[in-house]
Amino acid sequence: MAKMKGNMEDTIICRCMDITVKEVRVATRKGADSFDAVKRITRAGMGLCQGRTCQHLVEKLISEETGVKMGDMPPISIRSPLKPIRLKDIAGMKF
Amino acid sequence: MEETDVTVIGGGILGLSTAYHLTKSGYNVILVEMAKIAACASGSNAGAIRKLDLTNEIDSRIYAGSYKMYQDWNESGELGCDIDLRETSILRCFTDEHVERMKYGLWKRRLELWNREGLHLVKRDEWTMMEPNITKDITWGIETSTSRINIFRVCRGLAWTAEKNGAKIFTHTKVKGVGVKNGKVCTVFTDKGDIKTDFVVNAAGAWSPIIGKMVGIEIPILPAIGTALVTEPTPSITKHRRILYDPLWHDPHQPFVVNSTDPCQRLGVTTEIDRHLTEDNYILARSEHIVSLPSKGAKTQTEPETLKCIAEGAIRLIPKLKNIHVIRAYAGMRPVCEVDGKPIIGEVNGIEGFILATGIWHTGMSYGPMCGKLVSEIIQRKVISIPIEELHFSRFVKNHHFPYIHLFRNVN
Repeated sequence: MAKMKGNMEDTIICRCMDITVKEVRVATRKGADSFDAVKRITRAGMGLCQGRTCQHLVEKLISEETGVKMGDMPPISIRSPLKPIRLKDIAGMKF
Repeated sequence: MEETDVTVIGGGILGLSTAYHLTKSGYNVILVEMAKIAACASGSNAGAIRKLDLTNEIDSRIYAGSYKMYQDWNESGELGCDIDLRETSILRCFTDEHVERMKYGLWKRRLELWNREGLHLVKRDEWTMMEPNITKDITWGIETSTSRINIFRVCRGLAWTAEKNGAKIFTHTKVKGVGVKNGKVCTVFTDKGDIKTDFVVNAAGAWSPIIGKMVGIEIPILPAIGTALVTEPTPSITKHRRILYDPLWHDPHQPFVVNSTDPCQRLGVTTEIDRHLTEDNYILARSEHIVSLPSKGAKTQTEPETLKCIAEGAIRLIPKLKNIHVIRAYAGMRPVCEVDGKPIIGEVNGIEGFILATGIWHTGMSYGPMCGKLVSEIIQRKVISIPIEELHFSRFVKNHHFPYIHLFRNVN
């Protein structure tokens, strides 16, 4: 990914929760060093898509701020359900 | 090699609050956390805080102390962020059968305690206009309230403040051993280097028995998993922020029954429907039962059977929820003392400087701030502001009577 250029601070990076580049940068400067940490402070990645859209963009920003390579960041927690599923379908699961 | 006065093991509410209070008193503190801040129990709970427990004086005083701290932090902004302390309404739901059983035993006593606080059972007719979506089987309710906080901001805020006051926080660092010399702790060995220290605080929650083994003590703590489902943003179909219904009529000391044939009973599932504090979604909970620790790290997995039981319970209580999408589920390991379900706080006899602060089951957020202060008082050798002798590790001596031991494991 190319380095982000120009004044992009007000660009919305997480479309589900309306979180801007600036908010992510502020959180990173305050010590959030992974996607999970940024998520917990800003709520980026907590919406309907669960970070499918913004995870790599947020990690890219963290990488720019902290100098840690994207590949070296701790992986996020992955748990079922992996995609939105109706409550009645969970209740109707058979084992 | 690092050198410090106190090494705190565990980056949950207890460890962070201990580090916060100690650094405020001028101590050098290193906090070691194997994953990240508020990774497990402190990061996966409803954030409800209790102000009072009428059945237990010590708990009550600790809750009151913590609540006062939350109020102060909320007003002063000392933690560097808005902790979202707010009062929220609760509706506890009951059926006719439940109300019948409130005429005797434990639940009679609970009802009396509620009545003493001015909370009374109210017939459905009087609140059905407010909550038309609750199933018609529910015929009674008690309206109460609780305070809630944003758990991530509290934990993060405590970490920031402690760091600002000079604490060092090492995340993703695993403790490999604790060195004891002449009956006194001296070193903490981690995978990133050794720490020379005078005190060690074991606030590792569900992992605290592992740290205990390093100094040769058996801490009777088991990991109890709590699970919740998060829904998509949706218009509100409830008026109360929190709706509770316990279909199995649990004894509060017995949230789950080992080896029960009923999965809900075995997994300790009760129905909690929470409207998020600031967002437009619902959080559906909860379950509580003993599992084994994850083989590596602090990442807990959700179990399909638990998710199914929670979903069934939520739909039974509010049928309209059935078409709402669930976008995520989370689970956290809470430390439960398998002997009496009570916290273990205090310095271990015979190992000078080794202090336990663990076993706080589902009241961690209500206990944490004050408990951190008590631990800091123990380290400062001060008079402890709340007498906590009965929570001391020395209670696990032979022939002591523990009425609840059969609840957590099969004693044959």
